Amino acid sequence: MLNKLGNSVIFAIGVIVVGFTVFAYSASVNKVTDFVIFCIYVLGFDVLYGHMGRISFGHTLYLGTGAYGAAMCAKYIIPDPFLAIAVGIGAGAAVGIVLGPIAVKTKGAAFALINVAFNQIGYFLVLVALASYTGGEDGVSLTFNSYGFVDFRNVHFLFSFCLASLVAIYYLMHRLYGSAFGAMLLGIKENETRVRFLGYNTSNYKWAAFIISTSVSAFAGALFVINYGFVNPGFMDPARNVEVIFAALIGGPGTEFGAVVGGTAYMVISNYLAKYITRWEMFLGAALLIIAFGFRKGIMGYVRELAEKRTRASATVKLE
Amino acid sequence: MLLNVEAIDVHYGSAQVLHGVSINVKEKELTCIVGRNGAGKTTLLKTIGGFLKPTRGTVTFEGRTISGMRPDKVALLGVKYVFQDKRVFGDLTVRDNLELAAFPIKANVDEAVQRLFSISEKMKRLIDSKAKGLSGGERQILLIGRALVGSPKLLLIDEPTEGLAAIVINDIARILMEMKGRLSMVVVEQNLAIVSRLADRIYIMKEGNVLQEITDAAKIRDQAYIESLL
Repeated sequence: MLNKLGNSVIFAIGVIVVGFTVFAYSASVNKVTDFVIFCIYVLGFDVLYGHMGRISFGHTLYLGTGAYGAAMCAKYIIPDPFLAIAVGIGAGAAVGIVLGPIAVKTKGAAFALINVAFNQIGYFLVLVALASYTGGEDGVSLTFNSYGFVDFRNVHFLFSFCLASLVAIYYLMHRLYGSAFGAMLLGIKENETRVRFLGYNTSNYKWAAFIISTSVSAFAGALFVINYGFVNPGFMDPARNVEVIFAALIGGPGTEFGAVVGGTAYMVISNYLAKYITRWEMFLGAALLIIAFGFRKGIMGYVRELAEKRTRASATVKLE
Repeated sequence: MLLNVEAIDVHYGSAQVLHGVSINVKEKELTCIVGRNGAGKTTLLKTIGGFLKPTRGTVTFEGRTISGMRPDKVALLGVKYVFQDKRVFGDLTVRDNLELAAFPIKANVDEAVQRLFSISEKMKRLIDSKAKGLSGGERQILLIGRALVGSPKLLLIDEPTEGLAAIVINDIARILMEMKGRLSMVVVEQNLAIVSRLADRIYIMKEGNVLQEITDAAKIRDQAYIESLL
């Protein structure tokens, strides 16, 4: 799989960079920065859903862990943005390390629900049990240090940093899925028993994938905190899990570009549709139904299928 | 003796499926397990492969007890399993299927690809195709090629010709014949014509028991005799 990396990823990254930059400077840099960060979150979620076949209904826990990790670092240690990001990612990884062995023992509905259970616990912790540190419902406002041009309060720098982060994560994910590890994750998705008969201790690999997913999601959480300058329990609200699921579904699970397309589509809908329709969530629900019943491969899934059909057709013509 | 299955009992829940089954497999020998549906042939293979744990008795491979060992650990010892249902990793290409098998044992992928080509030339044009597009026979060839990655010591092959067209069955039989003598194999097979051609040793199974062990070459070639024992 490794040899197949090349032009396609460069082209995709080019489209992402140019697309988001044009969008940001023709619409709103602030908003599009949000979109970019959300795409990182979807990429993290899709490690488990699109590539390993495990849907998590509690992924805001990992987003929120990164957000609170970064915020607590900034508030109680030092408001250095890079340290805050590192602590956020570390917190996400730590949660993945601790919860992973339990979560990856399950699959299907059990996996989805066990993540909700963890999410509820995390939400309760930041909202009530640890309110004296986290600020409870009110949350915490933050200001991060700046170092010359490295100023996260500058929207242009922040946008560039987040876009570079998205590109880096996108590339890393592409490399990961192009490796034997990526093939093994797909194998687990298709038939875990068979993968074990090839000599894999699948529990360890699923755990590793879980940690990657929680760390990337936490990275997005830390970036959100820097972008907003505050943290509150909304970052970890279990009711918001549908957002990332919707984004992954609409873009096409199992494709990195699909995660970016889906993340952007969701953010566009939630940001712009809300301007015209007060209860836009109702339309989101209807859209989810349509996707679940008739559009399960998502946008990139259908694009890929179309491309494969064309390739097959041209191959047939050549043979004739 | 490479593999020694000694008086194993296996249960599915409260139902006993194998009753004190014992078989032996020698180095480089092709052993066939023959029996009607429900005789316990696949259960026996799954127990050797580590998928099922015997409630009594032991399985030893190269003198080491493997009964109850996890399937991945059994595989790493060099015991590879080719399943009956011919399911490959459909979303991966043929090459990726081989790469997936090569990774945990650090085997050379290019060698695995060449070995696949050596057992079937037609896989050359399919090497970068998604495995879900392969025919039943091509899948079986890929599964055998995948099991051969890293030069295993023992292949467990479950009903390799089941559901295949006659011309493909001949192809699979040819491949097994070419592999014979190079590595040890335990083949569950209901096609007695193939069994008679391939086997060095036959175990007849019925209702979870081994009825008979046949090592005499003349009897092995006598399909009518084997049929009479089923």
